[in-house]
Order: sequence, then structure tokens, then C-alpha cells
Amino acid sequence: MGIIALDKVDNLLWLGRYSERVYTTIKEFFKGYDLMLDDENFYHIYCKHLQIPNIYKNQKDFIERYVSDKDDMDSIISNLYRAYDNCIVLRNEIGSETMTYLELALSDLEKINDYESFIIDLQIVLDHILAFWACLDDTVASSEVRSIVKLGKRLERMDLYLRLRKDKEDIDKAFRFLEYRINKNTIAFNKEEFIQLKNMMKEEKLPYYQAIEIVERLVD
Amino acid sequence: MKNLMKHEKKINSLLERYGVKFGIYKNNIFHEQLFPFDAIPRVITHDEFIYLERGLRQRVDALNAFLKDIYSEKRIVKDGIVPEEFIFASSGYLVECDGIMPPKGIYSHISGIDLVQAKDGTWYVLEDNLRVPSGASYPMIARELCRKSSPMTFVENHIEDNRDYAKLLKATMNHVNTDGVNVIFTPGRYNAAYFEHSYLAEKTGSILVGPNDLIVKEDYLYFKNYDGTLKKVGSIYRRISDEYLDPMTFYEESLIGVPHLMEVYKKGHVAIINAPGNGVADDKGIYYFVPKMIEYYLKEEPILNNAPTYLPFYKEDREYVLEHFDTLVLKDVAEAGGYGVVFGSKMTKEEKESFIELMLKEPRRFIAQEVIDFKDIAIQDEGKMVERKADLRAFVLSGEKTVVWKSGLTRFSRNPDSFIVNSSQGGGFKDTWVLSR
Repeated sequence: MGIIALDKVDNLLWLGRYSERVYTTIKEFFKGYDLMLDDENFYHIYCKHLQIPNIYKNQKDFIERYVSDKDDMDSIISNLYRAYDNCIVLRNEIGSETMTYLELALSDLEKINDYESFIIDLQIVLDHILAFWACLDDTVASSEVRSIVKLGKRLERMDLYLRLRKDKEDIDKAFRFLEYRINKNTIAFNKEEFIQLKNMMKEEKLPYYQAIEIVERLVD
Repeated sequence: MKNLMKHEKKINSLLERYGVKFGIYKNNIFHEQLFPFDAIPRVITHDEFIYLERGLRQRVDALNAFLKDIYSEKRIVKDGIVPEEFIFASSGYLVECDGIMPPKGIYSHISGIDLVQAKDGTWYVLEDNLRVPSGASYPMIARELCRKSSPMTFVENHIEDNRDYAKLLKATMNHVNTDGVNVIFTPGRYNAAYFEHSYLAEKTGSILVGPNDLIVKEDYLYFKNYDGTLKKVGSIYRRISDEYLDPMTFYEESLIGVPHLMEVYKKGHVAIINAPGNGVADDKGIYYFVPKMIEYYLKEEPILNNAPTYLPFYKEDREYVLEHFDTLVLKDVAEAGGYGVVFGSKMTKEEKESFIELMLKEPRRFIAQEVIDFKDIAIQDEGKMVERKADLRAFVLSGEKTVVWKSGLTRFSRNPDSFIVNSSQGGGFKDTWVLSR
């Protein structure tokens, strides 16, 4: 067992979750944005899929606020701030070098103010998140630290994919990643519920709501 | 050096990338801001450093001897060198520490000594910081990034490598460690110096801990690992003030302390870095007596100068202060961080009168100093070279030996009319080069 304070385990897990949330929502936003070019009301569907309150006045308002409004709890930038808040206390566990990529992601996202070509800027944010994960894998010696972040990431992806009603193939893939990671981890999880989730995955018609609830309860 | 200056913007963006920030509270809201870096280094020649090194070691050794004496025999008071009013009335004197001998008898393991250089080249000590001096991490990381931005600068100049600070700090912690792990104890993410806490923990291989991560059990201090096991702590480099350290001994409302820590410390089962109670030695009033301490404990002539200082506590000094009020700088001994500093020349008639009234009522609370004509140093301001006031915080580490770090934090005022260099008041920083030959 390595040396990690209990509250840092929480930070590591949520760092994984929020970084994944930023990553997946940016990718979803790319698809949604493309659809919005042809249908200006598509953002209503987007909000419904992501289960976020539709508080936006119109498409323009949605695009600007969903990407970079710090006061919008569900915006991409708010989620990145949450990832950053967890990251900032983990210098000792993940190292300065790894942290720099999240700093870069935040700094580049904060700079977005031109909504003409901002998709390219968002791609750069995505690149930083990928570099952050790669650096974590490449430089952090503690397998426990790496594994907890990855568990957070896998939990979040499963959660989001279920919420987004992704197709079976994608969800199966997300589940396999989660299964591998949860069994490899040293932190406690609810085994009975996990078996229940595994059985659900075999069902022809996946009970999305129940599955989401289980994912939310798997690790306290 | 020109090459390095050219890359100042790049270095600042690298500093941003590494999260080199400090926290500040404005209207009770926490803001994180970048600590502006100026690429023109302060250069200390080899010979100048030899002089400073001797003086700083001497000063810190005397201050450590003073602390050891004050919390045991109090010979310096009995012998009439320092009046007891300056000891027992000092807010830094902690009666709870009386009779406690820290591991290896070291009180100030990390001392931050603030110096300024006058226009004639004379160095003056402005302040001793023996509680929780901060700032070493900034030149440390800036050097790393400067070397990346302009490698040839470091090939062409013979500069002592300052990136060994973490190694020195680790050796200092190990020297007093009572057979356990080293931890750096932070009050948390919203502390002004959180970057430094986390960076030093990373670089020294210490565990960065918060109040909930530590527990006292059967006279020992332990780190609570996430798997439920406990790891004995041998040294705790605490980055919180004395009064918050242990609610059972000091401020009982403290939520960021470790209950019963002082009991462990008293028994010699953990080293607290720096020792609690050091505030009695870095009190602005005690500063006046440091040259006397050097003579008293070390039987040596002081190498470094104090800024000419007057204590309104003494009749003769009080008269001098009243007579020369407009030419002096006055400091409230209870304040820090550039606060509580006023220049006689800048006060209105009313301000002056009310200040004098307060000073006469509470003479122990103030010191007065001659305004040193600082040697300005060059900084880059929007592409132009301008001169600004600057100080130097030298770091002295006391472990097996007393060692002066071959660098330091040079802080400068960005405001042309200001002498205040503190980061909390908008100052910037520079790297400090010590030439190796």
C-alpha cells in the first residue's frame, strides 16, 4: 500500500471524474454543435440528453454559456474548475508536470472569447486533457494513484454514456473498462451492486435509470 | 542576460503553466494570482556572497542561541542585555514552550532574513523571519524555467545552481527527524502560500498533509493513511502559525490544528519545524537587540548591519524619534507583510499627532528606523528598463550545520514611489544569482 491521505483518495477519484466529464462533454458538444448548424433548436435536445437544465435563451446564449460561463454549474468551464480544484491539492501525488496540462486546459478555456472559431480552441483544451492523462500514466510512479484517477474516469464515462443513451456497443466498451479498473483498484466498492450492473449489461434492453443509479453508488 | 530578458513573457507563461501563484483575500473572497516575474536577475558576486554567508550564519546561530536561552535559563535577561519587557510582553513569546528542548536543540531550522542594499553597497538586515518564512520555491522554479528558456545564459555565466534547496531542506528535516516520515503541514488550498507548500512537498519527497490527516496516539504523532494504517511522523514542517497549531494548548477554536501535538513535541517524539515560540526572536522590537545577542552568545562582532533603529521604549531614543520624526520610517511590531509601516514624511499633521500620541502611550509597540536609501535595481516594465526598490530574502537552514542557500528571493516594488515589495501588495520577484567565481 502506498502513502495517500484519505481525503486525497477522494480528490483523485473526483479528478478522474471531472476530467472525464470535461473530455466527454467537449466531444459531445462537437457533435451537437455540428447539428446546431442545421437546426438552431437542437440545443434543447442536447440539454435533455445530458440531463442539464435548459436555462438558455437561445442557441447563441447556449453556446456561449455552456462553454465558458463560470456561473453556469453545468458548463464545461465549471466542470474544468472542479477538476482543477481537485488537481491543485494533488501536486504531491501526481507531480507538477502532470498538473501543468490541466493548468493549460484551464488557461486556454478561460481565454476563449471569440465564438466564431472557438471549436478549434476547444480542440486544444481536449488535447491538454489527453496530455494530462498521458502524463499521469507516464510519470506517476504510484500505481494506486494512477488507478484511482482512472477509476474515477471510468465511472464517469459509464455514467455519462448511460445518460447520453449511447448505443450498446459503446456502453459495453465503457463497462469493460470500468470492470477491469474496479477490480484492479485497492479502494472499496459495492460488489453486490457491481454484479447487478454486470447482469444488467447482459439484458437486451438496458434499464438506463437503474444502471445510472448503481454507477453513482458503486464507490462512496 | 539579454537573451534571458527577451524570453520574459515565455517564462511568465511557463510559471502560469506550473501554477506558480499565490492566494490573496480581497473583500473576503479568495483570488489566486500570478506572482509577476522579472527576468533580470539580482546578481551577487562571489565575494559579496562569502561576506553575506558569514554574516547570515552568525546571525542565525545567535538567534538560535537566544531562543534556546529564552525558553530555558533566560541568562540574557538576567544579565541585563535584553529588558524583560521585550521578552515577556512580546506576543511571540509562548509561555507554553518554556522548558521545552526541541530535537537537537534547534529552534529556527529555516530562517528567512530580509536584507536591503543601500546605494553605497552596504547590506542591512531589515527583518528576521523565524516562524514560517516563505518564498524559496519561487526562485527555485523560476531558475528551472529560465534554464529552459535561455540555456546559453547559464553556459556563459558562472552561476551557483539554486535548485538544491529541496535537498538542503530535506537534509534539515532528516537531521531532526525522530524516526518517522517527514510531513509538510498545510492549512489548505486557500492559504496564500499553498503553491509553495505543495511544491516543496513534491520536491523533498515529504507527505503534504492537512489537519485531518494527522492524529496523536499514545504520545506519538501519526499520519493516517487511506488504507487505515498509521505512519509515525518524525518531523513536521508546519506552515501554520503557532496559535493554530494545537487547540489543546493554544487557540482552542482552531480547526486547522492537531490536538495534543504539543504533548508529543514536549516529549521529544516529533520535531516541529520551525519550533513554536520563535516569534519572540523575530519580533520587530527584538530585532534591535540582535547585534547584542551576537556579542553575548558568540563573543563575536556582528558582521551584518542592522538598519539604524530606535526604540521609543528608551527615553533617549524616544526623544530622537520625536525630533527626527519626518525622516524616519515607523513600524508597528505586531504587523507583518508590509502592513503597519508608515513614513513620517508622508503623514498629514493630524496623522502625525495621533501616531505620536499612540506611540507615547504604547512605546513598546513601535520601532523607528532611518530610511535607507535603497539601491534601486533594474526591472523591465512594458519593454522599458526602469529602476525599482527591491529587497532580498536570504534563506538560512540550520541542521547539522548552518547553511546559507546560494540564492534567495528578490522582491521588488512595481510602483515607482513605493518601498513596499510584498507580493500581497502587488510586488514582483526576480531570481537571485550567486556567482560561483
